[in-house]
Formats: sequence, C-alpha cells, structure tokens
Amino acid sequence: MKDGISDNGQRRARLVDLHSWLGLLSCWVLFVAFFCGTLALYDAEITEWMQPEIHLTDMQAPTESALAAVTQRLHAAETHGGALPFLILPNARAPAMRLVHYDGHSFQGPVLDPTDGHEILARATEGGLFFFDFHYTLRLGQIPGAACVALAGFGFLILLLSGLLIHLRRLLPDLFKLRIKAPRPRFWLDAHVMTGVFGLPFHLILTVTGIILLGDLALPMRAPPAPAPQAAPNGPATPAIPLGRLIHTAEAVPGAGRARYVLFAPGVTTVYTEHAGALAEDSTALRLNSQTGALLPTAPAGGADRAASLIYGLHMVRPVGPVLRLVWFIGGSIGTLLIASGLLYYEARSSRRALDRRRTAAMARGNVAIIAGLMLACLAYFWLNRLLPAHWAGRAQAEVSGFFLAWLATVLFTALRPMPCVPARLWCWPLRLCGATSLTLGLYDALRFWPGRHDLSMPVFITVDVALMVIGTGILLAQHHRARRANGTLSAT
Amino acid sequence: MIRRNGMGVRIVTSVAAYGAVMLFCAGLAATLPFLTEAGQALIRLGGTLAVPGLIVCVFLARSWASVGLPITALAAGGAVLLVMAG
Repeated sequence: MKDGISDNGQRRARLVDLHSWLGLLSCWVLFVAFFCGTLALYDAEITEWMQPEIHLTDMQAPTESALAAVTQRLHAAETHGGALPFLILPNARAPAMRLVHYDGHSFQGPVLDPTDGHEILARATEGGLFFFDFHYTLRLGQIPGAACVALAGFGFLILLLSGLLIHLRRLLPDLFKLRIKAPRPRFWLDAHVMTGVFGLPFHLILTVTGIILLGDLALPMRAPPAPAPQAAPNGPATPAIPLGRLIHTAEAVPGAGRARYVLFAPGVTTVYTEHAGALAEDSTALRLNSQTGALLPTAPAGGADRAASLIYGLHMVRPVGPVLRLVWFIGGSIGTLLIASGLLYYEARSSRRALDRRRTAAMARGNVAIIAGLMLACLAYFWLNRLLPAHWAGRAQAEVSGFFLAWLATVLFTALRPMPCVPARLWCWPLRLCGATSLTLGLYDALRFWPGRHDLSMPVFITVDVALMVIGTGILLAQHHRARRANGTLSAT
Repeated sequence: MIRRNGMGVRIVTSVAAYGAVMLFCAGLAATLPFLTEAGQALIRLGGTLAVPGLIVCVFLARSWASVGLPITALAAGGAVLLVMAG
C-alpha cells in the first residue's frame, strides 16, 4: 500500500516534470502559433480593414464586363511570359475580386471591382494572410519554421495529455474555481486549468489537424503515386470563350456549389467550387477546356478524400458561417490564454518560491518578450498600415519589417533592462505601450475612416476598431491593477 | 526497473517512440501503393494520436518491458513493412 502510494507520487512527479520542461521548451512557439492562427481565422476581414480604399456598396457576383477585364489582364500576363495569376471571386467575407499570384508568403495582386473590373487602387499589404503564413512557418520557411511548429504541436498534445493526468483527481472541483484575489501562482493555475478543460475539444481539434496539415514534416512518408495523367488540351491559358460561361458551366454541375477560385493553365481552366457553410474543406475542382468550354473528366472523390477534407476543414474553417467561425475564434483564444496562463503560472511560482534567481529572471524576460512583444509587433504592423504612404511601392514589405523590428525592440528592452525586485514589474512598460497603441489606433481609425463611410466594409471597421479600443482599455486597466498589486507585494516584503 | 533511471533515459526513449511511430506510419504508407494523399492524411491521424500517448506511457511506465517492447515492435514492424515495399 505504502509502495503503491509512493509509486503514484513518483509517477505524478515525473508527469509534472514532463509537463513543466516540455512546456518551457515549446510554449513560446505554441503561443505564437495559437495567437497568430486565431487572428488568421479572420484573415479576409483583416485584409479588408487594412485596405480602406475598397468601397463596395453592393455584394454582387462579377459581371460579364468585369470578367472580360480579367481575361484581358490574363492575356497580358501570358503575353509577357510572367507567372500566371489566379482569380479569387467575391464572396460574403471579401466582396472584391482579386487576380493574384503567390509570392512565397502571401497572395499579391490587383484588387478588382466586380461590377466593371476596374482596378481599385488599394494600398499594398499582406493583410491577414501575414498572420496565416506566420502562424505555421514563423516566416522561416518549411525548414526550420514549419518543422519547429509541427514539433511544438506534438509537444502540445503531450502537454494536454500529461496536464489532464496531473489534474485528473481534482479536475471537476477545480474546474469552476477561479480565485481572482488569490496569490498570483494560484490565480494563474486556476486560469490554466479552467482554460485547459473548457477548451479541450478545440485544443485537440486544432492541434491534431494542424499536425496532419504539416504531415510531411511531422510524419514523413513516401510521396503518393502521381494521379494518372488526365488528357489536357493544348492551347493558351487565356480562355477563348467568356470566363463567365466557364464559371456558370462549373456551377451548373450537380453538387458543385459556388465558384470560389479560378486557376488558369495551358488549355485548361480549373474552377474550384465550395459549399458555403460546410465544415469540410470540400472544394471541388472542375476542369474545363478553355477553348471550347467543355467539361473535362475529373476523378470522383472517394471516402478517404472526404475524410481528409473534413480534417483540413476543421483546422482552416474557411467556408463556414459567421457563428461557427466565432466559435472557433473563441476556441483559439482560449488556447492562447491556456498557454499564456501556463507560462505566467510557472513564472509566478518560480518567483514566489525564490528558486534559482537567474532561471526566474530568464523566464520572466522571455515571457514579456514573447507575449507582450508579439502583441506590440501586431499593433506596430497595424499602425504602419495606417501611417505609411498608401501608394508607396515597398509598403507591404515595410509593414512586415516593422512587425519584426517592434518585436526585436521589445526583446532588447526586456533583455537589457535591469531586473526589478519584483519580476512582474518587467511587464509595466510593454503592457502600457500595448494598451496605449491599441486604444489610440482604434480611436484614430474611427475618426479617420468612419465618417461618411457607408459601404460593405463598415461593419468590419466598426468591429475591429471597437475591439482595439476595448482591448487597449482592458490592458491599461489590467496593468494598473497589476502594478498596484506588485507595489503592495514589494511594500509587504 | 526503469524508475531507477533518471529523466534522461525517458527523454531518449520518448524520442525513440516518436521515431518508431514515424517508421511504422512510413512503412504502412509504403506498402499500400494505391494510397493517395488523403489516405496518407488518415494514417497520419493515427500516428499523431499515437505519439503523445506513447510518450506519456514512457513517463508513467515502471518497467522497460511495458514501454520498450511496444516501441521495439512498432519500429521493427515499420522496418519490415518498408523492406517489403522495397
């Protein structure tokens, strides 16, 4: 019996060690992936907010004249021998048409009005796609960036499992206990357990599907056999018949759904359709002869394809409606809070127990640099979008550089600052700056863009600006409260 | 008994567990020549769920036999499948 108890205690101690050390190793990467991935759920809306020059008053399908303008642009690109762009058709989330190409990080290209096809001179930006790219590559490419995120994903699954086993006995009693006035380690542990258990389905779904999406790096396998070559007619990539007719032919196929993207290749135009509101990423690719408009044979999707579509859809949630997207956003936010509260718990516990002072200081500095630094970097990215000249050629790259420079500045500020008596004081200035920049950005934007704006993007502007103001005010208030508590702790000692 | 060993051994065993699952998944995918990208995604789903389970078992295990055998079996099975697939 005694042996049994001590054995259980040893097991629990080993699990705690695993949870702590793996958490320390992977949580900073996981925080970046969760924070930016959650923002990326609204990538189209963020891009719309970052391009205020787009004023569209009606949501409408592209007209024949607009598609004719696309065909002309495509013909010009083909004649000049450049990379062929592809067409993103308007939908409820992004009412403008885009003729884009992939530059290795995001999709760049002109924004077109779906009523007549004229180019809207919107400011160049990577918009919300920057967060999408950054959350899984860390802007470092497949190796080491995506590989690092894939390994951190495995780490997160192990953390979830070990965390559940550690707290299994007291899971239900602790679930609804958020002791706000308790000492900091207890408060952060309560928050950690609560966010971990409440968001468990989302943590599992987002992590498992994310690892599968990065499967080539996480669990490499031999390349699947190439599909049998499909008969493809030769000819120019620019369709010889009206593009609208090709799209209409594709949409008329039973069960195809609504056209979303159009890809152009020599002799073949591929229309990707999707079912709005579906959870699975089941975009159907319909190949058409670009010279005759005839539908080319396509292999039917099997059971494995449908299952894989569901797995991808559960991570990307692209065609889903606004309610489900909001649910996923809340799930992602809870995941971000789970990771942040775990890091802050460890920092507070180390500080309270007066463990190795250098380790505590390094942990505190790292937390400020990653958590506050990332928030500041995002706000710098948004501020630069508003401050840089709208039609400056290098502005998209400058915004991204500004993001990393702001982050670097926070890292340097945190690393070089003398360690205060209470490590929590390290948070003061970065958090104050976060709150102030967020609040002022929301106010500036409301004053600059709200008056006289009556277009489809107005709800997006109101939502983002109000969210910035609320977040800014919340951070400033929380920081004020935190500073008072830290001063109280200091005077008590 | 594994508990007499420190965390270092368990960490090395965890890495071995990850490698064994990786090998088994690769072997399984290689022996199914008709497997498409979607089919591979389903095998990865199994592998993704197996890795954390196995690693937590490594940290819970009392004896080598309880973790060493499954990990060795997985790795050997994967290697055999890879050899069979050529």
